[in-house]
Amino acid sequence: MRISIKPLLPIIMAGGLIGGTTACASDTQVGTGNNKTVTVVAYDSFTPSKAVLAAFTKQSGITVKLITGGDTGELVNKAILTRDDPLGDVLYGVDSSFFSRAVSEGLFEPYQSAAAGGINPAFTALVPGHQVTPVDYGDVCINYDKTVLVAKGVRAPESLADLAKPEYRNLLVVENPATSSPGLAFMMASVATFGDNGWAGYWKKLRANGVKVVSGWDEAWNTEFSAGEGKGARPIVVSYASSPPAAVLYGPDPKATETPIGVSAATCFRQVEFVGVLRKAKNKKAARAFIDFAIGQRFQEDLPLSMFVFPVRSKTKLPELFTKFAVIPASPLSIPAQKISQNRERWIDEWTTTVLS
Amino acid sequence: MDHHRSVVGRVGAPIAASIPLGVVALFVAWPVLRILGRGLSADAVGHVFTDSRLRAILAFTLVQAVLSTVGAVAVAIPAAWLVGRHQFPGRQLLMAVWVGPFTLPTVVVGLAARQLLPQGLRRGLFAIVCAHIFFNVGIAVRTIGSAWSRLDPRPEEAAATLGATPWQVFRLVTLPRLAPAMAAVAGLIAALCLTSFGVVLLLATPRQSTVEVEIWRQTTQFLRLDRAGALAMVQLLLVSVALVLTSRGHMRTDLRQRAVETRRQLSRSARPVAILVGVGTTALTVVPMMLLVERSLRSAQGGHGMQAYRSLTHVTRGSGLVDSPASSVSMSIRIAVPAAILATVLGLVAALVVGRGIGGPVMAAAFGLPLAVSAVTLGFGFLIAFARAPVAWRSKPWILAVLQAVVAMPFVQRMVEPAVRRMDPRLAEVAATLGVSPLAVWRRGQLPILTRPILSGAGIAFAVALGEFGATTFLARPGTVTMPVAIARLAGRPGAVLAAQSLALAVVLGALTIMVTVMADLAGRESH
Repeated sequence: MRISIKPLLPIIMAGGLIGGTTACASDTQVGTGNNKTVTVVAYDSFTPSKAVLAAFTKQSGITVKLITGGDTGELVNKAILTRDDPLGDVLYGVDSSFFSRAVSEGLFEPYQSAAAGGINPAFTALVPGHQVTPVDYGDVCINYDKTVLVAKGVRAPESLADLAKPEYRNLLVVENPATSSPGLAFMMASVATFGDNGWAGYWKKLRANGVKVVSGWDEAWNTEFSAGEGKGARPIVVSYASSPPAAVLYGPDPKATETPIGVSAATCFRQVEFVGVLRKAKNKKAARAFIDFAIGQRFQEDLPLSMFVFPVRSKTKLPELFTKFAVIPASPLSIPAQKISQNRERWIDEWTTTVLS
Repeated sequence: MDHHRSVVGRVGAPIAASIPLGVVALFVAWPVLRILGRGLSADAVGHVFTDSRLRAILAFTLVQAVLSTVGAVAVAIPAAWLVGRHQFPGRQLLMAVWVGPFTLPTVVVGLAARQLLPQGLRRGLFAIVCAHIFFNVGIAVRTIGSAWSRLDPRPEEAAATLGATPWQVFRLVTLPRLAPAMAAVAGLIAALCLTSFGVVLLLATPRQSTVEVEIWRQTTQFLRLDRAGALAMVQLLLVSVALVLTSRGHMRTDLRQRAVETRRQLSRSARPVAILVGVGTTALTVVPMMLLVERSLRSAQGGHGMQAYRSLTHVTRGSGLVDSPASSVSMSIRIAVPAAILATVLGLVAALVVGRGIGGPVMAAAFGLPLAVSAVTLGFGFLIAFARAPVAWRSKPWILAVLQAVVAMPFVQRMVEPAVRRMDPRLAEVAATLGVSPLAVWRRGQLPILTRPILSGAGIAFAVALGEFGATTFLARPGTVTMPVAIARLAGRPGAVLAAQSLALAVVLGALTIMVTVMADLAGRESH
């Protein structure tokens, strides 16, 4: 007795049609692309609280449509590719490694927000032409597992030079700068510390000292790091200054008062992130309003717990989790944006030859 | 009457062929040409073969693809013998379960590989080949098993009466007659392994890379479209060669293949082997999935529970997702259902065209194009090709469904094509002499033969659409997070809570696809 599919066919087709139309319907509910919508193109980790975005809509009447597209590098490259027909109005998340290239490719229309006065002047000084506005920052630093280091009788590493010493043999895991943003930042930290002529030699020493290279942060933290998910073999990892509070918040006990994860402040490399109006944006007025909001108090206060970055606005109150566990170095390492833009590819090639071949 | 029908036949075929061809041309060929046009040059292509690093990448790509393909087919043959030749309770469930891995997103496969493989082998060629075999063994078993069911057993019986040992019967009689099916599925698996992205990204050592990963790197990280374009061309060439070489096999129709499947009960002597094969193949495919289920049930405090599943309905702050993970389930289904229907229709027409030999090998190659194109290239191509009127479609809600349909279409085509080749033209002629109209001949004589592969194809198309990750992530659209994208985002964040959520969502994805594949198979089940 054969099961006839004939009665099923109409059901399947109906399901498909319903699916198709609801997909269309849902999109129109989000926003109709009229004057009252701003399209924000951001990296994958752009996750401000819904409440904060709702506050923006209430205050300005503008709905936020969000397009996410990979990490910073991918984002900027997509934006350059679609320069003449941009994906949105605002680009959020260009960081110091890529911003020089983005600006030189003419992606942005300069805008100096009235609210920019509230930003720490050290950040606004980075963009004299106002093509973009600083919006948040984060530091890429060496994180270490205090418990394991104590057990091994090894002092916590205090500088990059320490990591090349024999007592830190086989303890470090780093990410490939060609495929990982923190990996790139750490490589640049070594350039900033040892100079153009010395940094390659430093990596030769690290390689001799048994440094492990992985492709991305996820693998470094969740598989190789001893204080991460996977309880790996390496107690020293390249991560962020905001990793300890994140590990506590998402760990077994969010109310913990201590964490075994320490941050080595002298190894931190500063990454500032910017937001800008795209030159060929359809709705520049709304884009500017969004930028004003992004450097305003509400958005800036939300940043630490939503995105694990630090606010650029002076005197913004940090959540307790951050004041307890995060580290804000007094003088982090950095390299001028222009120099990064000119040398990034060459540095990566040289790093690959030195460390991976 | 005759003249009318042959005119319809002559005109109808090209018109029918133009529909899937048009879709492939518009949604695959054109975006790819646009992005290649941005930077391709003869120098760049030459550079691919002269640069030592790129040569090494090319070599590694070929090595891992060949080993994976050979491995998958080799593992599939005993399993195909079991399910293709024999009838036993639970046969169809077993086949559906073996296809389960095919639907899992590669992030999940990477996680599973890290758990299961011993420390030294977690990265590198061995891990990649194992992951590829895990992925592809299900479709290999299906294709070869289906062909095996349709083999006329009489030549084998004759050989046995002439004194051949079972191994000789297999080697000299069965294997050559299975060769077309084996070649067809080998071509498909080779194409998938050559363009494999997620698995290589996760499981290769930092020193290793394949062409696809390098295309991604050059495009997204460096915007070196010249280098990326050159590599995309080379990849297109490699995959086309693989598809053409192996499709020449199934151009030869074996007229002794019957339209009806026959399977026999397991003989007593075959039972131990059958159990070994069944258990072994199931272990290979099911154990990693069971491991994922177990890990998804682990609670942060030790012990087990459903917390991760419950938390899928909430938005977790800082998780990388704006909406709850559960909303990605409905989003995925809303896109995958129309995608699967479209893929099935297009694949069916393509199968009818290629199966009847219209257009020859060139036509077959054209329909294989979606498989040969790198996901990054396609995704980025969409960004620039569909940016302006009259084709300003890149942000439309339906563009993702079209993309997924185009990617899934070759799978449907390959499932339906063998059935089309098996359709005996004499049946239609006999019916015509008896006065049956062409439409009725089609509807009552030929369509029932195709129903089963169409439904199986639709099930696979849904699985492919649901699990599509590469091109979907590159095509940025507002508010669209499908399950594979959500899983990848959750897996890339710190903390046990989010890791558990990513595993829970992965289990939901796997279960959903297995369910749909089983339903699609059962709906077309024949009684004999």
